[in-house]
Amino acid sequence: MRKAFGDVQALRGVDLTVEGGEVFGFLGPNGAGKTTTIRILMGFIRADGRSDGRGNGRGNGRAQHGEARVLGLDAWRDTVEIKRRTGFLPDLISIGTGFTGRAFLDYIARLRGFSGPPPLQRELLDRLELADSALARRVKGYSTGMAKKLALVQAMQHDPELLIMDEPTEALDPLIRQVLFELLREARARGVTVFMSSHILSDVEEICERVALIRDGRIVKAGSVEDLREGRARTMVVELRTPPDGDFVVPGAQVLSRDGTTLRLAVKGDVNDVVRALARYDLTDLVYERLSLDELFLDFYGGNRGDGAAAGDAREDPGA
Amino acid sequence: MRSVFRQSLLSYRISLSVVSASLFGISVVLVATFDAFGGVEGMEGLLALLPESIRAMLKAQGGFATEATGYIGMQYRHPFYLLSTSGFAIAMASGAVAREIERSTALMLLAVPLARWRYLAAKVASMVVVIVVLLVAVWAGTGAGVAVTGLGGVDMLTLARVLVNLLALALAIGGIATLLSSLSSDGGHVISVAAGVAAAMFFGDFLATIWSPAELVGYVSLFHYYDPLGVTQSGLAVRDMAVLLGVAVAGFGGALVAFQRRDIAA
Repeated sequence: MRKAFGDVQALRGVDLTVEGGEVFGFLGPNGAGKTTTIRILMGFIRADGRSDGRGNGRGNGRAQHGEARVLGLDAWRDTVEIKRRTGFLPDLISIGTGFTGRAFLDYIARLRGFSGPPPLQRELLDRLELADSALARRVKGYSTGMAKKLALVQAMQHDPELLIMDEPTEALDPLIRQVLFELLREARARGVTVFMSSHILSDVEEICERVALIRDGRIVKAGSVEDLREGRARTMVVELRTPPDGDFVVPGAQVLSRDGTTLRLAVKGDVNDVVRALARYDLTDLVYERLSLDELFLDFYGGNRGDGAAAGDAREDPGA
Repeated sequence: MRSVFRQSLLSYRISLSVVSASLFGISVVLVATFDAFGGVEGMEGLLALLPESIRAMLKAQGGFATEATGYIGMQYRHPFYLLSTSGFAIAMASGAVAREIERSTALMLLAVPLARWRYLAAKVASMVVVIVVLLVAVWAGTGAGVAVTGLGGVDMLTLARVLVNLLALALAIGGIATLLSSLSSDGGHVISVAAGVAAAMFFGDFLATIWSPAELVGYVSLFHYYDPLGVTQSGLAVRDMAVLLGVAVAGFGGALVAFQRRDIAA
């Protein structure tokens, strides 16, 4: 998909597939194109390059050049049917100020064809800790977190086949964030597909099976979290009893920083080589950190920290 | 669609109630002023003393051929009636699309399985109902005024026709405003442009009436086709209604098409 707004090229080539029943994370910094992609999927925005508005991928349900398909349907032409089967959480939570929380949920439920509360509404309200007293108040007085919880309920209350969520964990406190993860895991167990964007990488690590990284409107990497970790440097923190004499050299690792007896190493080579080299020193502690998506993020977006470590032996880099 | 329609009406219930009550009250008072000005003779005399420009603004250059009915019909060109009906039309049009996008409320409202054209059609339907309620308040106020003062010779059916003419004018302005709203993501911008266009057309119609070189300008003004005295004297003009309703239908139709095709990128 491509999309330009005037002179601004928001999407330069987004090409990815999300399989049914998986939780897919869509990562990128602000302005990378996450929200534009999601709005195309929701039929709010039409992707560029479609002259007939129909696309040509009707046969196999897969998207062809310049089109987005959701649940096998054309994201623009079939948007009403897609919305019937989808729950959506926007990045900006804005609810008409005249609504109470209860009136808003009832309104959305009626628009979805329910004459009473949708099947999951009560459970979601209880688990996200939205009390009836809070629902009786006008949304105008809600905190950002409260409004987010209300928006989560409206997105999930009708038990959709697909959840499209833009920054779902933002503004949630840690406990409610964990509740949301539980809800998403349970939804996955029911066969629900979840497509969520985030720039909070630990959240994506916790819940997603596969991720795609977007930068400047292009997918720069897509795969499982483990795929993305492969070949990337991991951080090792080494605590020495006494400061090393002269240069600190460890094959397969690069010294990122040194603070007295504490050294941070980027390890990309065989960890056995590193451990054998460290055996020459008197250690008081050693921590081999799990590779986080933060570091992947830095690799893709911020620079080439991991690449430098790959090449050669560790040498102290005073500037690191 | 019914839910959007109902919700739209609910959201305007307070302002609609206040303005309807005001229109009702003013309409009662305006009937009472007829005798206070000395009946039709007194008003004709007063009109004769007014500058031509003021008579033109009231479109009362020809006097009140139908006496009390004509007098009351002329009052329906009072700016309060024009501002109330046009103001609601413009505000509701702005709120239908542009303001929802501006405030990002559209992102959740349009994430439900409802075609955009149905959503907008429900908003337009609520606009029509609101304007009709306003005009019914005017008509009821007039009727109440007639009953209270015992003023004779008032043809309420003819006055209802005048208000139908006013309904068509408000819908035409609402159609233009709805088209602007469907193309915009800024509710305030829609209100200012639509109000500016309406004001320019009102002034253009006025100018065309008092200054013959500008006569043609009147034909492009919607206010040219709202002629209360003309209605009281010779009934609803087919041409006037056709122009106003044509503009309304074109505006609403264009808005439906534009909203269906546009990007919603707040």
